[in-house]
Amino acid sequence: MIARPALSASRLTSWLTSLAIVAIILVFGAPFLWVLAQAFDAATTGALPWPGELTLANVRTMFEQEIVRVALRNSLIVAGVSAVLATLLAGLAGFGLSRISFRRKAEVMYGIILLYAFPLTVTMVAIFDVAIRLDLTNTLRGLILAEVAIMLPFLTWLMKGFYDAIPRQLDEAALIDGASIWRSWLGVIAPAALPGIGTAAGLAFVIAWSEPLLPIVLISDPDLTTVSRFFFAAATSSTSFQSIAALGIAFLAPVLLVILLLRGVIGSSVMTSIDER
Amino acid sequence: MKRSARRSYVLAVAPALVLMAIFYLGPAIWAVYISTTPMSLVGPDAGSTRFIGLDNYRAIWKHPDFPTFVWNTVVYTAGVAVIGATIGGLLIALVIDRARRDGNRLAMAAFGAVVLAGICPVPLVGSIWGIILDYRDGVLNALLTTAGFERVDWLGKRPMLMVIVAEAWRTVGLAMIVFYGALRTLPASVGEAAMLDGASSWTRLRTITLPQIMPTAGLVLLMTTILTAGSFLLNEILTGGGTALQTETLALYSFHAALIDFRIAYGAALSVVILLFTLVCAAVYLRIAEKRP
Repeated sequence: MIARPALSASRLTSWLTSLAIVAIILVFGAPFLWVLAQAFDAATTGALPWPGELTLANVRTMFEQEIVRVALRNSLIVAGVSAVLATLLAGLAGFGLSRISFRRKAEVMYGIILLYAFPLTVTMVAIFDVAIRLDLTNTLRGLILAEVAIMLPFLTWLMKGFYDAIPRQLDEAALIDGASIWRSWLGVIAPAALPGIGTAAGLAFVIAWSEPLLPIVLISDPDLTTVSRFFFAAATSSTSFQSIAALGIAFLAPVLLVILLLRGVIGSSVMTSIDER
Repeated sequence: MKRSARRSYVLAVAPALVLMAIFYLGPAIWAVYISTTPMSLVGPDAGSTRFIGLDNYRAIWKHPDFPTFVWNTVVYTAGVAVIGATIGGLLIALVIDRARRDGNRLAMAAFGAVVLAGICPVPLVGSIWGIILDYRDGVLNALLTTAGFERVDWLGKRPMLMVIVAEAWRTVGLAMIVFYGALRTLPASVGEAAMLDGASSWTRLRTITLPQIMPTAGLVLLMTTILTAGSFLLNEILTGGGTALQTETLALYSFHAALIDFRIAYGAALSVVILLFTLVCAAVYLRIAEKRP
């Protein structure tokens, strides 16, 4: 007698949950399916593209534009070089911070991550000014240095977590064999931290690839535009969406790939580095 | 041996530290100093680092539209960070968690869709929402007219609401991931005991789950507030501040002042005001958290 209404109430909840799940998928997922449809839809006017005639014409039109090819090339350079540089710097710094001991180390580690309390919006104006003084505006190397700098706090923290998990006996064994710290890092420790290094490199690539503010602040020369800079310009002008959709997929693809590859690794490693505090 | 090891470790950290100092920590401090100079890129004060005290802040305070900018920032932050990301993120995480326990196969698809919106690069989000809301060729209006309704000038008539919806759409992913992780680590035993006592799922949610999730909610609220108060890019793409400054927040105004009008020092002062705004928000949240029984 008593169990009956409780059961139907829970069935109602399950039913409402399913309904909400479908709504969530529609609201958050449908726009992406729609971008995909737009990119390959032959009709150039339909706001609601429905699988009509499929074509590669939109993709071709987009990539035939000189500026799009320039933007893609620049983005690849910026993201690629940033990933290598950031991984190297964070790989070294994370190692140093993991092995060195000094007073108030935990506080310093928190201080590094607290840098993010200064959002880019706050520092943006000053970064612009610093770049002008160093003559780094409208250069890809200026953009790369700034991108690397803003991701270093997070990546260094991440790498330190990976190194912390590698037993120190490994360092000591290498040192007893007469290798210097640098050689033991390169020969023994870094290979052991390879999953971490891969994670850092993937994240660094994605951040530099999709981060929009620094290119907007530092780059005004169209020859140096990046994909995210180009998108900003295209979105504030009236470029037709069909042509943008194709580039949108190219823009999103590497992000998606890296996130899928690194699924799980990031969260758990950040968690362990917090737990060990 | 010991000392040389120490030196090597310091050397390993040094390059990263130098780069962060030049392009991150340095600019953060520099921004505060610049805000007390008349520096601009053009005109008589181009590049000037002369100290002028709080003149820029006085100019901001006296700006006839300053109350509008602050009010817009309050509405925008409340809409995106409080309602959209924190409350919305918790609701979505609860729904997905419940669906997963029900064995609903679509639960992970919903999770993926929300995460996808969260990692989508902002300029692409801008393009997507721009075309969804467009008056003439927009998807929303196409749906409306197909269903027999009148077109609505979404971005013209309701610019702030639309900017909030779009920004919340992309910010909620981060909040949802944190909430979902927290929900999965809650001890199940208390909930099961309550279920045996005959507590309905609603009662269990209200008396057991929500109180336990409150610390996480505080963290998410603070995190999304910091992110949101400083964000302006999507707003710039969708409205550019609106025809009568309806969507000009402090962050967007700072962007316009510093990088469109090249009033560097004035923009820097505005960014310090944004920082103060987030500190005030943090203080208010702490106050509310303390007052809770």
